[in-house]
Amino acid sequence: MTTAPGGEIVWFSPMPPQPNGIADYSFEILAPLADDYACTVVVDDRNADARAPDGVAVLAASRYRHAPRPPEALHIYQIGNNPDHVYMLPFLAKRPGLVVVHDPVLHHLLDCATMAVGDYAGYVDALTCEYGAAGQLLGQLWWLREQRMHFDLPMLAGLLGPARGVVTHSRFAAGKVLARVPDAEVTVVPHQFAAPAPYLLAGREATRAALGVAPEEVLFVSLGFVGSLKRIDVALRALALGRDRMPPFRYLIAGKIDRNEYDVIGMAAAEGLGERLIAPGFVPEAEFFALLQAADIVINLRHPVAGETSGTMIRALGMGAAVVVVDRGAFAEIPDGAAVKIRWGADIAERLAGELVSLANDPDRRRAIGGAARQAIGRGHDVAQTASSYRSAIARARAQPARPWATSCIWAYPPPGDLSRRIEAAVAARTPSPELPLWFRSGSIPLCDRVARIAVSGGGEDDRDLLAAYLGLVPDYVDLASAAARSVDLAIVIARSDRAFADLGGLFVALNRVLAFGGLVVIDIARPASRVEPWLLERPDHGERLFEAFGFRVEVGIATAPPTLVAGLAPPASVERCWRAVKLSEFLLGAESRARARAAARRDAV
Amino acid sequence: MPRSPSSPRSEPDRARSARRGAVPDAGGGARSGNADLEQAVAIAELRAEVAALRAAVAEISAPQGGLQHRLLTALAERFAALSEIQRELIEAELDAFRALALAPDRVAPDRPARAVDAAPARRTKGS
Repeated sequence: MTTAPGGEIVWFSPMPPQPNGIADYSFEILAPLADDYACTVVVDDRNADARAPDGVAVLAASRYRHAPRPPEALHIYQIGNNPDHVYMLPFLAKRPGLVVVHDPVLHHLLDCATMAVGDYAGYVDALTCEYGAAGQLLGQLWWLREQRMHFDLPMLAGLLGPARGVVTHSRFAAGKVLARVPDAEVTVVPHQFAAPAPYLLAGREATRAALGVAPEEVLFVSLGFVGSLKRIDVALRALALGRDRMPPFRYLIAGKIDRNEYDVIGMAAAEGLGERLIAPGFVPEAEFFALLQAADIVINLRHPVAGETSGTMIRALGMGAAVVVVDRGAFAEIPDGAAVKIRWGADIAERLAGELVSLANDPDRRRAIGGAARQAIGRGHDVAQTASSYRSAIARARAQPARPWATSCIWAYPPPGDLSRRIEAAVAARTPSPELPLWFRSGSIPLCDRVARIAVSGGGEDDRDLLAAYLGLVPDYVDLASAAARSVDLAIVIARSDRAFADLGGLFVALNRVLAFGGLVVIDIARPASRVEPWLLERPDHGERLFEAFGFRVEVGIATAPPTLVAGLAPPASVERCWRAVKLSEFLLGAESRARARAAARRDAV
Repeated sequence: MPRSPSSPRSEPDRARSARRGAVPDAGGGARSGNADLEQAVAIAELRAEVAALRAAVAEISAPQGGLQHRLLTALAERFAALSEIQRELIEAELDAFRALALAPDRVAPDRPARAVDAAPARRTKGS
């Protein structure tokens, strides 16, 4: 690898000729970045024919897996919401880096990585990690889910939480990211517009003639993959409503159409617009700009709005087209006057019809809007400006230390014979013979292959001595109250007094905050039977529900006395219970708990 | 139903034993301890199957509609879980957008006011 002033970056993205907007995006932006950085692009094995700008090396993922770049090479992941990005997920988990979020709703990507290959358990695990017990239930009932759930559960935290930096293309998407990962290092980078080479523009009149559009006809255009979110149904309804109040018009829908999924041709026929529709299907790159040049009005609707920045829209604005968008999400960030922004509502078709009629009858207004759009894009979306913002994001990510996320401890448990020896040794070392706590007698605390970061709450010097004897070393204790988020591998809570039970919710919130994912918590409660809390006695699974609500899954639950008092038997003098649970999620059930967790996260971010 | 230990083993019994990797006995003769164990396990399996069938029949034939009850319960639990998540997302997003409004530089610390690089690349996507 050659040396470069900016060091080395490893870029994960689909690349041309893959029919993917992010492939074209990467090609454009890598060209200026290659001047400063030694760039390697890692592509999916199926994209082995990938092309990259001069000076950029291309490697298939299977080859890169065996020859990864050194730790100082920043990994940059271009994440979109389709199958072309699944191959990079294992790399992202192993080498957190700078994540470029093209779509702040990534549930479809999760589907591609799990459900599409029959991995239902993986889907449930991912939902559990992201949304705790509530997510687990939704995952298990996946057969009841509706399309809307993809938007309600954006699946961002698991992918972006460990990242050293995040790039979005709008402030709206940045807000979505910060809502799920409050301490993320987010940089908003403007989506670039690369003007087309002049030879690609056949000329407005020639293109219109080739399409069969008469000079006096108004040409409405919608571009890009035709899916239900593009709301072509609303555009067709609006055109049908306004047809008698505007000059003759044609409507061009240029993009791949799947009639089984979204039959726009049938819809147009149903609205009586069949003869006015031009639907050439997928349009090659070379024709794309010519169609934009030929358009009078570009209709670029989205609903529901996930938060993505439309590359098609940026191109249309850059070409000086009069664009109509929904006034929501990233689309709302277009400067006023540079596009027609329509508020979404029940009467959207009527209001859209009004705007389309106005635009169709007023060429001067179209020109004014198009001119403002061209200016706005020219001011902030040049490729060089985007590259400059990327350099800034790369520098910020490099300055960010690796974020603690999941524990790397490999846990082991003393075998029965070994445990017996430890118990005998502990008893022999003390006079008079003490009653050893349940966590010790049951071997609930794991041993580790290395020095784990351990936080202990409650208990006295005796407990700490016992713990050292049990582990065979003096642990590296961390204070539960002041430990950094996800910095602890193992937390031990020894609750003996009333004080320990005064704020159990607060204790669980704190435990969830400090433990790394996959970290363990061991809670040992010993109480006089007369003072045992009802939740501890009523049903054995109540304790487990409590753990679940705070993002843990109980691995072991042990009691020294029956949890229910049987009539006729003398009640036990004391009750001791011990649980060992693993942290699976940071999503807590209960508004108050979540508010506490958010407040703690805000403090961490500061 | 449980059979007497001396009764010959049926074909399903033999198949079940084979699935578990056990060696089927010759049948009719003296049984080893393992064979008795296998039969006990087979009986337990049979009982469990009968119990499951009984529960399924009861569920389908229940006047209250056991299936409908289960479906409604699942839908209600699902709705509660979804509401819990939506509530959290809305609150968190309000927090995030409020914070962004107060500190816009948080996400765009260097947003350039003008082009800072050399001439823009004049190349088309995919070319």
